[in-house]
Amino acid sequence: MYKIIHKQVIAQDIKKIDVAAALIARRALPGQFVMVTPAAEEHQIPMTIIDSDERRSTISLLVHEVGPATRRLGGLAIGENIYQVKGPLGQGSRLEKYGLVICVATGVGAAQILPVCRALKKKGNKVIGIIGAKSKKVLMLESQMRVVCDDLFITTNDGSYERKGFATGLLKELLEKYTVQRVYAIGNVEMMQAASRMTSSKNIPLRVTLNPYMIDGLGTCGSCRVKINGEFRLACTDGPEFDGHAVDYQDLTQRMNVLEPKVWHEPFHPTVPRRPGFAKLLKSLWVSTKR
Amino acid sequence: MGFNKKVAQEEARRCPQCAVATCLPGCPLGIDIPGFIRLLREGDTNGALERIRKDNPFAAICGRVCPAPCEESCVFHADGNPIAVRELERFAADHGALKPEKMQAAAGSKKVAVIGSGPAGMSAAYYLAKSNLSVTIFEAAHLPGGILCYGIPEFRLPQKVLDDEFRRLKLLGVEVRTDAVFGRTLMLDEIFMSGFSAVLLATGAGLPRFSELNGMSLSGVYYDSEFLNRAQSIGKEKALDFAIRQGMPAPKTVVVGRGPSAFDAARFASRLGSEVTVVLDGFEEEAGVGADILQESREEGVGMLSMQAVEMTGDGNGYVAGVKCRKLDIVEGEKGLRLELSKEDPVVLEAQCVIMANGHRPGGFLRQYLPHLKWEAGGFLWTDGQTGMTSVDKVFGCGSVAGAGETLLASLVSGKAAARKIADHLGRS
Repeated sequence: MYKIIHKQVIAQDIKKIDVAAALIARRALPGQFVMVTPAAEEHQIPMTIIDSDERRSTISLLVHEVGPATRRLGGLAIGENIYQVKGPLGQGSRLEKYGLVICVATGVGAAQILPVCRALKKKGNKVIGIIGAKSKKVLMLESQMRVVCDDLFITTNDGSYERKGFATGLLKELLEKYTVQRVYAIGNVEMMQAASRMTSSKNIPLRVTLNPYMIDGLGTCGSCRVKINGEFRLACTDGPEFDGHAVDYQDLTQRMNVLEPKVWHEPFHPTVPRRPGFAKLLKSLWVSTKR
Repeated sequence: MGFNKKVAQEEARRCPQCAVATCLPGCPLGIDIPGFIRLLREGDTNGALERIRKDNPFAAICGRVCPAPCEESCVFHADGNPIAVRELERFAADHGALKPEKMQAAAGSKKVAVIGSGPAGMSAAYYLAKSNLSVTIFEAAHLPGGILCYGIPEFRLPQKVLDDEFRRLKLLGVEVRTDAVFGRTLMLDEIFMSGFSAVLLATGAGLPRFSELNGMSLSGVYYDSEFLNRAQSIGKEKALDFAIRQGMPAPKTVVVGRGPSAFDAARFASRLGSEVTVVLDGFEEEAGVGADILQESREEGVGMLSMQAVEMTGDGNGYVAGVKCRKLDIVEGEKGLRLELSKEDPVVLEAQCVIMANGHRPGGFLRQYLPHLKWEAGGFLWTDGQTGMTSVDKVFGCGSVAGAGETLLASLVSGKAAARKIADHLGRS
């Protein structure tokens, strides 16, 4: 049903796929997401729609291969079918003409900020983009961002590309330099929390996109509950974009952990003892077959 | 499990066939209970099934998960040994054979869209198809069945039974479209534009009522529907394997709350190898489930405690470590025994997984999408008592989203009534 039309490796472990989904492509708004099931025996993965082409009736998704399900999705070739794509879900981003807007993203957040930047630019805003990445290897969507932003800054934590440092440091500088009307932040919780601290002292509105653990994206289970202004809201139906100053970041940090299942003691996860030296042998084999 | 022929006939013979049947008013669907039991006694299983299906098209489902109010009104209930009507219904559904009803709505008949394929949607679709309307069910999830598919586990309602029911619905000409999220993939005006004359909202009440207790955000704390939904998100046949692959089994699980879904979650967790305790805020009889489920849970090793949960305690790393509970003392009051909070210090029950069962309410999405809809206090959809219509023209509501109640039976009845009202409405206009 949902055929992969195009696939492209963008960075280490990151692939961009274009999926034929006519019903979704015709009304996907920037900031909305889809729930993707790569195969019948895998769970659903929430994924931001980074681009939708109504004419070709395709949507573009960015696959970050971190677990079995995403690896499976990344492994599908052009022409193969995805088991299920459901959407577009969530509320679109709130976009108006504000003036000068800073969009800051770290890690995979760059994929989520791209459609927002594009839409902001279309509305006539002046957009400054900041992308923070661990290193040049995992930096992605640089050229696409250059197209949609008036000015783009890149920071890498290890200094392997452009500026060394963190995205938040740059944001602080820019906030002092310019009068900014609005800030969009997508990325890890620490970054969004820091952005919230910086902007609240200057009274600048902040929009953040949250990525808590989702099960079906339909607002029927309550797994993606986040605390906004002291009450629980659902990221799948009320979000995923929220007012950055209203989010309870401490609570959010806890909720983000839900994704990683805790490994209990022995009887529940029996591990097979390996022969000593076996891992070493495997490693050497892997290295020799690689190049 | 289920009765074999010999046991079923013996049980059917036990029925006294009262002159004034007390079980009849107990069944809101109005199944002719003494009638089908008499047929079973005579060995006519097919006839019995036909008799049941006259009033309840989903005998195989009801025979498994019905709360069985008829057994409570049975004359033998006072002796603690009522006729096992539900098991007999299940026997008739499993062993009886009927010629499949096959029909096709006449060309040019009016089209009705049913949103949601849960019990209410299924029941409405069946009766709408029977009244010669062309019915399409739009389901947001990948598999049809709603709570029957993603909520109730395989050991209580096998997927095969559900598949059979949907096969029968399709034979009646009902079209089922999955992956169609109402209000997102598919809009209301689009549905009307593609020729539908009425839309029935049967979206159910799936969102858990959030708890006010501290520590609800810790990892390992689930709501009941979250727990079951997560385990069964790929369909319930492979749910146990999938849950293990997801790292869901925990050495000790505590379920806080009551109701059928609390016990479903508890029994599912115990099947994952966990040591399960249900913390009830009252007596065991007030658990909101039938005596049979209590009995089965106990046999499966699910412990039950009468305590009141106070807060979830963490292990310092963001994971849940236990539930702090206050004991309840049995006090003799004027109206018999009752429970009162003890003055002792709270105890901490160790748990790596806590499941909260607080009941459910309709999700907020419908309210966002259709702001013109009128809502009642308690968060339920308002429908006109006479016509079954909501405050939006040609949009009807039924099932638990319209406040029919949380039981399967209530949803089936509500779906049936809504189907009749829609057929009336379309017949008039």
